[in-house]
Amino acid sequence: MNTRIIMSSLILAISLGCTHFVLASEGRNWDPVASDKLIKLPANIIEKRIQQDFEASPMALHLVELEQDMQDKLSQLKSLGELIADSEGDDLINQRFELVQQKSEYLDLMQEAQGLRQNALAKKQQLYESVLGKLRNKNGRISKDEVYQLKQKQAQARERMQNVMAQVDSSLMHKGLDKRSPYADEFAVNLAKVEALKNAISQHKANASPTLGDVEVTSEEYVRQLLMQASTEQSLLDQEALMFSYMAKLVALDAQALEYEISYGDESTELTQRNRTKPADVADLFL
Amino acid sequence: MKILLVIATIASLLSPQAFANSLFSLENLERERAALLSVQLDSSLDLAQRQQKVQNIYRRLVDIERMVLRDDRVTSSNSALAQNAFDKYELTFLVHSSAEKSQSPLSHWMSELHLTTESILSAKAGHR
Repeated sequence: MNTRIIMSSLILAISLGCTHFVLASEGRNWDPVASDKLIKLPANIIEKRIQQDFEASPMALHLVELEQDMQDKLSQLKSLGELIADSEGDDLINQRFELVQQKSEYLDLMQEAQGLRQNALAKKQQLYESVLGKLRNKNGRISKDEVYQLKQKQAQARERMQNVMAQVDSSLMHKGLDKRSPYADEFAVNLAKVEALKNAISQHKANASPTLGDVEVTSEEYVRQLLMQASTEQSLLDQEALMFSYMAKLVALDAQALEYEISYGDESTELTQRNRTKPADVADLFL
Repeated sequence: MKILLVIATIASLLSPQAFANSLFSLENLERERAALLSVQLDSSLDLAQRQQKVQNIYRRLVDIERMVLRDDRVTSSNSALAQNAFDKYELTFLVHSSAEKSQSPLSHWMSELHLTTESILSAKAGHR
């Protein structure tokens, strides 16, 4: 009787514990910062750099440990399930109790891992937003900058000059000034070399724009795509959280059913009435 | 270490600070343009002299205008001279802008300043 009371209270404690959120221990954090050095990297390298930083963080290392613990727990659950099939009587009760306990611990581990993943994803999203903000800020500053605007004007003026270069050269010929100046000669020779070098730079793989599929995109577009991927992952994590809540509910119901069975017997057990002396049975003695 | 030194040397040679005057080419352009206009308006020269001087300056001006348009040091300086020069393309790059309109540089310059024959002939000297 005492054993049964202790076991039922333990089961009750486990069923309550299934809904308890296990907090991540201190020192298992990831605190990324969108530094200026990060912004200078190509967008696809930014993604890899962030992922690398996360994988080296205490949070990621703890997630790896949790994953290992969950795998071990899962194999224990499977072996217990097989044992239960062949057990009966008190052994069955004990093993069912053990199973509920193991399931509860497994859910605790999963919930802790889920919490850490949510945390990591939220920080990644904040980091991507910070990177995007800084990229936009930098592009805005560059476009508003006076030197940038002056360079734009020079580029437009150069284009305008290109349109009439042939015309000016032919007017020089008419004036009898068609002998090319040293500047013009050397400029022409260097120009071809400059164009070849510029082509080599633009085709260099370290200078390649990030791509989405096969389409080259700007850094801003790439980071926006990363943010979209993060929000997709967020939706999936939210769905997993819902699954966990249903699994926890099932474990709580299993614990409750086990408690009721131990305390009141299973469903097939009928309520027995004690024998009592009925007045009709002893009425003859009083006649 | 050697590679770093070489890179630092090249960077210092390419940096705008390495050149005494980043507006050198633009100032040359301004001088040559002023010389062209001055020669064309110089009444002391006869036609042949004027034509020869104008041709020499014109040849130099073609090159200098192209140099300024290709010179990144001019735009890196962000000076008022550079700003004005590119804001007023028509008056700065006289040879090329006059070629766009198939006019001589002097006609184009006077047209930009709204100096027409009628306005010059109707001009009077006196108090406002």
